[in-house]
Amino acid sequence: MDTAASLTPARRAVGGALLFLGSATLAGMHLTGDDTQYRVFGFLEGAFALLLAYTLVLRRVWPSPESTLAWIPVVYGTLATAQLLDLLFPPPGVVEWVVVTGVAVHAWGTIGVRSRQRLVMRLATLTVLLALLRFSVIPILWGREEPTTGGVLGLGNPLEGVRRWFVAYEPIGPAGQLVGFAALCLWVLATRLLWPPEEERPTRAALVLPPWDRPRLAPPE
Amino acid sequence: MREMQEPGRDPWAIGGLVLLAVLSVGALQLYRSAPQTLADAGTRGLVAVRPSAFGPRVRRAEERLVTAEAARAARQDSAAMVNFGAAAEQAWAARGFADTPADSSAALNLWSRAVLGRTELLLQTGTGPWWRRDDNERLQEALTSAQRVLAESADPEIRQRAEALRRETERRLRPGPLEWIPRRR
Repeated sequence: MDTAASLTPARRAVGGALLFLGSATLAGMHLTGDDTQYRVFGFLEGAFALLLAYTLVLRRVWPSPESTLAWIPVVYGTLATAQLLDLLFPPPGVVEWVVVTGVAVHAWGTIGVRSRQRLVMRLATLTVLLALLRFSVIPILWGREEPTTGGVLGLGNPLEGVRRWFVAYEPIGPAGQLVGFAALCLWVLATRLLWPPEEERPTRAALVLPPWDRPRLAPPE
Repeated sequence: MREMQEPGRDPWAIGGLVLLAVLSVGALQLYRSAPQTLADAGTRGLVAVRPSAFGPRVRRAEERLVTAEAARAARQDSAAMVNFGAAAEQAWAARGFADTPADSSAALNLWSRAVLGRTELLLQTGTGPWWRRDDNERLQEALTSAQRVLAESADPEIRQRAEALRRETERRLRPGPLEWIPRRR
């Protein structure tokens, strides 16, 4: 018996909300080398999360909230998305400004994606790129020892300038990355649980228009 | 869709909503208290669930004492000071909930160790190098703490440690070069 298919929409909504809550809780726990920080997302991450939630509902990755109970997983999902964005975005500074601007421009293209499978792939690719920057590129550049000054005109090593691109940065250790990965897995599981099962071949109107704008077909006589 | 609009018919959905509310409150509390280790979260939770019980308070005091010692070893004086204070507070509260004299004595010893640990830190941080003044306020606080332990504790080892700290603090509090002149006993 397919357990996922036998779940009622109400149970899916509650189960999805529980998984999103776990994701939001874990995503805010940043395990740095010295201590554990409990971070809450800011205005920037919250605004992006709202935009992403709208896109996910528009493209039927998340079910349309047409009742009070259906709003609960959407609200918790938005919170979890904001917490994950706070984990993935670069630390405050010039790099963050550039990356967030790029993500905002990318969001325009994301709304125009017709297939929800393609939308999920775009989000997955974006997540991988942000994680590469956050957990690989930045820590390696930051971790270089202080270079000695030298070279023509005393300009010194260009890597020294990298440190000045960040206002405040605390690297997340391997344990913290595992916790963040667990948070991402919970978000993916919740989205999979909420994935509306009935729509396999959507109409053109369903792909282009949001649910509340689609023309209602007259019942057959 | 009918089930989505009428969760009252589904006991699993109702139970899930209740669990969601409870876990949401738990997550908020977790973020408010911001525990640094699993032991910290565990003992804090035990005290929150049973605030008037002896066992959770003693376990919390022991955990805070271990954390304070670790912070002192890592030369994190302010964190050590805070944790010694928290350990003393929990141990003193545990003493109030003790049912037997043995429990009361154990809590008192725990309190004494926490207070003496904090006293040593106060003495260390209040003593300046030869070219700088001592922080007499800190030294006075250290002296008061040592005297309080001597007044409360009956354990010989703890009393010996407290007495040594008291004498050392009194010596440091003597003005100027007098602190280097041994007192006639």
